[in-house]
Amino acid sequence: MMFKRYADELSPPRSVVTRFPFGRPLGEPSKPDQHRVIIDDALRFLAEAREPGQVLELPYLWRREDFAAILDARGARQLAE
Amino acid sequence: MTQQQHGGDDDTTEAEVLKALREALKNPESTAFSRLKYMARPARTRKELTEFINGLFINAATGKDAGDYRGMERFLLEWEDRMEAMLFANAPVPKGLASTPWAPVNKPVSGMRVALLNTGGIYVDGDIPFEPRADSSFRELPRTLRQDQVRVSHGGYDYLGVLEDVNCVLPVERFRELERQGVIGVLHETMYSFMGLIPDPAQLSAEAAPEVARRLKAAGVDAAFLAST
Repeated sequence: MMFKRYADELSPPRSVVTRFPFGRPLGEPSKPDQHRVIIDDALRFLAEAREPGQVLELPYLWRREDFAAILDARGARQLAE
Repeated sequence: MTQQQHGGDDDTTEAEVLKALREALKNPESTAFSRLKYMARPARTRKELTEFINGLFINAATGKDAGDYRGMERFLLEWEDRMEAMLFANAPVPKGLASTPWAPVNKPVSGMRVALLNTGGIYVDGDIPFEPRADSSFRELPRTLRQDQVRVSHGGYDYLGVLEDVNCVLPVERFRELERQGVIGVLHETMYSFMGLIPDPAQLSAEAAPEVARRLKAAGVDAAFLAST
């Protein structure tokens, strides 16, 4: 979700909030590493959330993180074929 | 604009002052301004605009003095939050359900059938476009979706990113990769799109959303990944 307030108010079972520009919830176009980090966080949250309505706010700033390095650190970067 | 008010130190009217302040905040509305562009909209008060411009000046000068612009960054993030609060206050937010539904996870993600959904008004070339000002219907898209088949009809957000790379809203390529790598079990064949600009969500709650949920359940989908814009 793009809005923490909507996540709180609508309260889906699990929501992940990214502070990215509107219309780009997964990140910049053509930045697969960035998309992967967001999805990786979301899937982990899917597995770990234990109660309904939990909201995960991701800390990443648009264009300011080294998403490839984040994936490497997690050992989650076998793709990039 | 005949009434003279204390707009400035000369014969400037309040309306002229507001116009000048808004002009000072004119911006290209590109992604850098995505959450701040509302500063240049007519709803802002003179007090807000003055506070914002003064804060920019103070933070820019102290940042330059210290060679450290983190204060400026915090200042802009705070104003993004204020704009979000303003948007939220003005938007007709549908009330959530009385209680949040819960489907516990009872298998590893690597064994799940995962479906992708979005509210970005995305549809596949040849299908019926969404009505961009109000439409609570949904569209199906195949998991084989290619970028050259991507179309968008939505009256409420900047979808240039989607037209360049659909994965920034509907990460179909990423999930195909995750399936190949065994991170998820299966990416469900059908993806579902909504167009998020729905002034009256009654029909969405009563018909379209339950119908999509019914189809997903009937198909044995374990998890739904829904991106909003």
